[in-house]
Amino acid sequence: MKTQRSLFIGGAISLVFLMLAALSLFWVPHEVTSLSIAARLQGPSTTYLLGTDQFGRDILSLLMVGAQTSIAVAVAAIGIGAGIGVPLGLLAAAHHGRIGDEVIMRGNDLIFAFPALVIAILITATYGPSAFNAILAIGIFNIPVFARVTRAGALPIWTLDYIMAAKVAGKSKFRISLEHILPNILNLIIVQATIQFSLGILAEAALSYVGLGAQPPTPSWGRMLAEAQTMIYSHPMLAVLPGACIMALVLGLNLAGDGLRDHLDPRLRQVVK
Amino acid sequence: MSQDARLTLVHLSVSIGAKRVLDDISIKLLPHRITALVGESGSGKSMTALAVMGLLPQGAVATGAVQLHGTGDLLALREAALCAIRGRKIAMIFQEPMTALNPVMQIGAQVAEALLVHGLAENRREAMAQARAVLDRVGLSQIGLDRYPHELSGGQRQRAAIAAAIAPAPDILIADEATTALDVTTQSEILDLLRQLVREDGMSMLLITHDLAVVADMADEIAVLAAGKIVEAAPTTNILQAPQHPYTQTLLAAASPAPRAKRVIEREVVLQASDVTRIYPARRRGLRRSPPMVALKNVSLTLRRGECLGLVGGSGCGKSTLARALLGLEEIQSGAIDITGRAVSPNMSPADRRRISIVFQDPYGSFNPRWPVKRIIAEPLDLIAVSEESRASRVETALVQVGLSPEDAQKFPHQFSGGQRQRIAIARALITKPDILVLDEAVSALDVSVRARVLDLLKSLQEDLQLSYIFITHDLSVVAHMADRIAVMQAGQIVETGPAAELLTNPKQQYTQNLLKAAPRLTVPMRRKERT
Repeated sequence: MKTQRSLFIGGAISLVFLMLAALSLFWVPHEVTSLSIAARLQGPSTTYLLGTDQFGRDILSLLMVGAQTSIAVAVAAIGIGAGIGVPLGLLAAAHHGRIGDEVIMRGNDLIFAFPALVIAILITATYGPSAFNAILAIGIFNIPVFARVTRAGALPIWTLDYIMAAKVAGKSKFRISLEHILPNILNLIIVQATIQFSLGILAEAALSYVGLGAQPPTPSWGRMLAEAQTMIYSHPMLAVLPGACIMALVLGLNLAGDGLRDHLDPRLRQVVK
Repeated sequence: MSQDARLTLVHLSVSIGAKRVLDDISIKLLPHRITALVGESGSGKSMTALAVMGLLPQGAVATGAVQLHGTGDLLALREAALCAIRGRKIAMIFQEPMTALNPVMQIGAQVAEALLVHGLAENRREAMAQARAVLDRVGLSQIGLDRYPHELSGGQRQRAAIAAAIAPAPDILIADEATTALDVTTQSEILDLLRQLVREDGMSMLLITHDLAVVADMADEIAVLAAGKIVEAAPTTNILQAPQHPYTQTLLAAASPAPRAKRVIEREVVLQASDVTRIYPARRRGLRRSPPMVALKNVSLTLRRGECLGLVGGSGCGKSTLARALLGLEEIQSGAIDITGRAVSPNMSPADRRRISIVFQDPYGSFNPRWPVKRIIAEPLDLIAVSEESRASRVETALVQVGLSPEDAQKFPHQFSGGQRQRIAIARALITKPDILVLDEAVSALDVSVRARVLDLLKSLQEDLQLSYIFITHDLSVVAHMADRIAVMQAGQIVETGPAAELLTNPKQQYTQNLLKAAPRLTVPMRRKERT
């Protein structure tokens, strides 16, 4: 019961942000690139539901497009992480105890040794800051996470009898990995993706905050925070609103991830019962 | 024997939801006596043990009474009062000693814990001294108190678990399938130990098992349980010699299958293995280097068409490695394996692999849980060019051959019982029309009555399809029922081989003799006399 509730609440919160971000692709209350000094730093009103910032931009519109940026960066980073990490993990598990496994996992450790922020600084120092480079940095950071989860999930399955039966049928490790291993660990990967999603949102906010993420005029929650910093005493809502958005979305995704894990993982489900 | 019963179950019934799992169970446990509770899976054996311990699952409703001598009805007691009784008055031994012991706790501390919890030792030092004494009693005098469970063998672990159970000198000892996970020689040692402890300490023991042969040797009384009811309860000799209830009679018949009639098989040789040697290379584990392991040493076998070769031996003797080598999954260092004139190796073609297939022990781990039965059964054909229609028709044929219906092809494995799953596994093995089937403990996980039916199926398939079997098992009564010839393995070598009847009645090698002596048997009354 309890797990169902966290899945429901987390899913609902995440869904609200996803829908806002999707809506921003077609319609926003006010154009986020149009500045209007006359309307700067207004409080909430019927024209500007959540007020305006120091350039007279509508906060609600900024938050909606910012959600779009954050989600796009996090999803693309998961794509990179899972797209490379899952095959690597499958490969490592298929060659467990041999040199291939060693090479992949030690390579993983090497990437793990650098936090996403350091990788981002490294990339931006070379190629300049942009949303794409932020995606790349967070994506690279995601690779070892997915590789580890995949390998750990795959190893016990390799010892099961139906894998032996597939070997007896003459199937290659590659085919066994695709037909038997991957479908049986997909739930693990989905749960991990949800968790990496929330970490990606946080990382994107952190990168934008230090100016390494999406560049102006593309709105982003992290940069909204950074810009509001100087006015935190006079206009606290400018910082509170994007901060609350980051917190709510991360909380929602974490709740959904935990709920999904309890729901999908039969081992945990037994304990819950 | 006019002593008061230690524990009496009085018309105990347990329901979970609408389902009645135990129905009107009455059992008396007397001091110095071993009472056996025998039944197949789902009959309510373990539920009875849980009821006695006051550990029924949430939502279970019990009526009747569990009278403990000197305490009263356990069903009426609160949790706190039950805690003082569990372990102290009533102790329990489980099937799997590796999970029953705490893996991160030294065994001395685990035994001492039971004493400290119940205030039977003043302090830790005293508790450890007592633990040492108990471990000596169960035959672990050579084992230090500071050893961890994983450093012990399966039999030693079960001894440690027994030590922890008997340390507080309980009145009642419950053994729930306590020897099922052990191999035959270890099993007979543990059974001897339990019997000796019960006699010496005057405990009452409730022995729960599915294996009538184990019970025959041990128990004073037997209660046969079926679908939550006791169908028959009587002294052991009565049950074995003159079972009254039809269910007991079928159980007994299934537990002692008749040996196979002698056949002369003179058809062509389908499998020839000569001097097969498999060595696992030395491996570095951290700083240590483990020496190379010889898993198979100069193993030679022949198998004729339509013949059944039994392969027996203790755990770790190399049976499974040999099976994998025959299936072409192991690189062999020397020797040759040849099936119907073509060599077997890890890189043989799928078409060559078709000639031999395998049925595994575990009816639950054998199938990809996400695949429907038709895909599972047809998997061996995936790499062999077979048209879509002929695939479907072959799946249908295989299902019918093993006694399932063609509609079952759409279902998923979890929708089948253990016996049906084993039939699906056999169907998968048959689909390539192989010459040889490797049956790796294929009936060991099944209840006796189900097992008898699967064995019958295997026999009739062998006749109809002229199959050759390699029948790997630890169960000598089953191997006598199935095999024409038997090969005995020990430490990677075949130590003795010969016609089944001859080898089982007149074993030449010491190892085979020990194996036969250790095997539990239903011919009890005579053995019992020898002992007393």
